[in-house]
Amino acid sequence: MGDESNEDVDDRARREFHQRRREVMGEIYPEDPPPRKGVQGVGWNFLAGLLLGVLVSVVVWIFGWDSIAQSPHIEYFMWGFPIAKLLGAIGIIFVPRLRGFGIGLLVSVAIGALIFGFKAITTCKVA
Amino acid sequence: MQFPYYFHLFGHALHPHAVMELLAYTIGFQFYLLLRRRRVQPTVPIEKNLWIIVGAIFGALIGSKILAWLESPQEYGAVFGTVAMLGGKTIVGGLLGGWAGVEIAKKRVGVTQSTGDLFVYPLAIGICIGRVGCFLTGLPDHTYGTLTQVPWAINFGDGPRHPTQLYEIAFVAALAIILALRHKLAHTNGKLFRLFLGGYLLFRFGVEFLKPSYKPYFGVSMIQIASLIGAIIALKPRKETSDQPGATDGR
Repeated sequence: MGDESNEDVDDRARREFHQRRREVMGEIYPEDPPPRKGVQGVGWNFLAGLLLGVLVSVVVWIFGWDSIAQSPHIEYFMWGFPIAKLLGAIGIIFVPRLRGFGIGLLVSVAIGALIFGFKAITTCKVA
Repeated sequence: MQFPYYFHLFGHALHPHAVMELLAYTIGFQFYLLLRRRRVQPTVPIEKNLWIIVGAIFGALIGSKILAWLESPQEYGAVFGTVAMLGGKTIVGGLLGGWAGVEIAKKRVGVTQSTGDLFVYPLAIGICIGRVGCFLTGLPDHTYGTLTQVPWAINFGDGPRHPTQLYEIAFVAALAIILALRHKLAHTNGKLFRLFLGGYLLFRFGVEFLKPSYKPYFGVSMIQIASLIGAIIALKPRKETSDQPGATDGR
């Protein structure tokens, strides 16, 4: 202690002060919970994929139906559109960062088939 | 009131069934997310849960289509073709297929805890909204009842009929309210889901007698057979399990 300069004392006191402050503040403000970005990200990506997929189906089957119904290849389109969406979704699922988005898109394929399947009956009647 | 009752948006006539079904899925899913957030017990990790949703929705798609084909083989036979097979669906097949899909997905991702209870109220809301679409569609939907003279009969265009879609809405709403009052959200062991499913399937078994559907199997339809089998499985007494998360009871 004898040959310790005033600066050393100040430095040590400062370190002790900060150490103590961290301890006290840590009690008041506990450590942040582990980041949930990944978990939330998957959920939000899922919703984004689901909404985008359903939106595309709405646009195609409702707003685009008049044009589609005129096509001579309508039956190919009835199968081709959902299959293209399905393959796209499966491809995206293999990209780890976009897995949630791909799952959402995949779910939208089934929802689209459930909601807009009645167009198939219309097609048969048209045919 | 004219049936089908089309909605109009930006100059496009929107089919009531598509509109109400879209609303049913959207509102039902949002309600599911709300219940999931409010749940105190730890839930299934999000990514595993998403795969369970995939199992549920694809199971529902496959189940609803297969049962629809079996229910009206003569109609699908008349317009037989791959595109015709895309049309038509049944809620009973959707529920049973969705249930099977969830169980398969849970096995695949290694989830043992029950997940069905959280789906009960979203399903009830979805069915009620979806049936409004069936009602507004009228005769083309094939969900109407037989001709009748009861005061509340609805004329869809060919005479007064039992509004079986409205009966179903009333029943499902009542069932959900009774379950909510009796069990609230405390049940996490799948019992709530089984009671809901069993109750709904028994109702469907009964109400199908009021529909002019194809009933070649000892006077009952394929939907009634599936409903009865599903109800027996759902309501079969089983060993009581703990309400603690992680409890396994097959649902």
